[in-house]
Amino acid sequence: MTPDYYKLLGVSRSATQDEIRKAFRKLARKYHPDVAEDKDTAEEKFKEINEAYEVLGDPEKRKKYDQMGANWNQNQGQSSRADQSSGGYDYQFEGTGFSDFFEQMFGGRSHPGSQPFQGGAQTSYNQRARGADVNADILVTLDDIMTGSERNLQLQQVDRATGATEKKNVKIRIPKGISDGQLIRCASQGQPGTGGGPAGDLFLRVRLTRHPDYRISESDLYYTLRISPWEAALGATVPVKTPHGDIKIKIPALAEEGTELRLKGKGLPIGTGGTFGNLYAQLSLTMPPELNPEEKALWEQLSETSTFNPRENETPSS
Amino acid sequence: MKIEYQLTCITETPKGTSLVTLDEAADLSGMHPEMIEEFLRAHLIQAFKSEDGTLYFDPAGIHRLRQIQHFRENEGANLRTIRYIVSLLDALEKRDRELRTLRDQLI
Repeated sequence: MTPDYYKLLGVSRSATQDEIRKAFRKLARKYHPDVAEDKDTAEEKFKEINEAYEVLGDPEKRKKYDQMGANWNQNQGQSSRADQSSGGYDYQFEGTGFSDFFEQMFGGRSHPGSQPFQGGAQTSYNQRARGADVNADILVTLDDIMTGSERNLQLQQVDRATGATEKKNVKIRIPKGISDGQLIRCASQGQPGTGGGPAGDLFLRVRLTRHPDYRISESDLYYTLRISPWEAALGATVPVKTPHGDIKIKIPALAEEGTELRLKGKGLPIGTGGTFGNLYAQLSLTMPPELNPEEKALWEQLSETSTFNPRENETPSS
Repeated sequence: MKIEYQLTCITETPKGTSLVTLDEAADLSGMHPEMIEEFLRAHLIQAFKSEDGTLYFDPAGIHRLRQIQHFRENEGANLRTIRYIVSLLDALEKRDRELRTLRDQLI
């Protein structure tokens, strides 16, 4: 079934990229397994909205989805028939974290002709040759990276000539410290070889689920730390959420908006060697949504007392 | 003769990781080990070197070797053409990564 990515994010079809981003951010905060109350349903929902944002957040993928979304199955059928003469197999995956629909539309697949790097199709069939490699994406969470994990993947191989399907269960290991864009090789899980040649491999490209609290850059994490104006002025000790648990950090007095505080070694693991990236807490001054009369009076008192003028060095407009 | 590869040193033992040796990489890509060394010298693939000097290849390295082998065998590409294609692939991948990072910054 075609998922309605717009509905999943709760935005209209004419929504701007900015509206899509905001909707995703809001939902990611609500459904992230770390914060949600009902963890099981939230995890499923979190994957769905990540997938929706993966498509709608990328203008090119969004365009493709808008054009083909409703008819994706029809188009797929046609191309499958057209490819029959060249032989080969279609692949469907379960357990990569993406839906079947996503895999069919955007997932890397083994299509002779459309995939330039597949050698199998052009090779004569009585010659011994290795089967073509199959490429796919796999959605990986921050937890998977922190500790490493195992995933059960179901591969469905459909012979395009005969329509026969074969299901295979593959257990794959997501190594600790793997980063976005890296490849996991599953030996001999690609297309079967010809003339007694070995099967190709399955290459899974790691795609990180976006985290509502952190922006991930390789093994470093960026965290927006919201602070009140008085905390910025006077300095404070505030808790920061890290994948290693909550820790308290000291904000220096008179901290500026956007200041980055580095928490060494509190990022993601770098490989399996036991070293970690850094976590950068970026200060964001946040105003209270409203002021009560007492607060207002205090601000007014400050305004009268202070001689600070943030615009005094600006050139006056002529 | 001093041979310089595009290498990254690894400190941990490759046991349990998905790294393969030069001979295994040759077997997996259908290339002669010396041919792979030539591509290493041409900086077309990345490999890892352990403390004892053994060469290792990660899944991305195997993937790249398979691509190169495909260009050689099926498209009849020479080293110069392969170098050109590989540089384009690398540039594309780099831009893709940058684009993703920049888009994520906007969230």
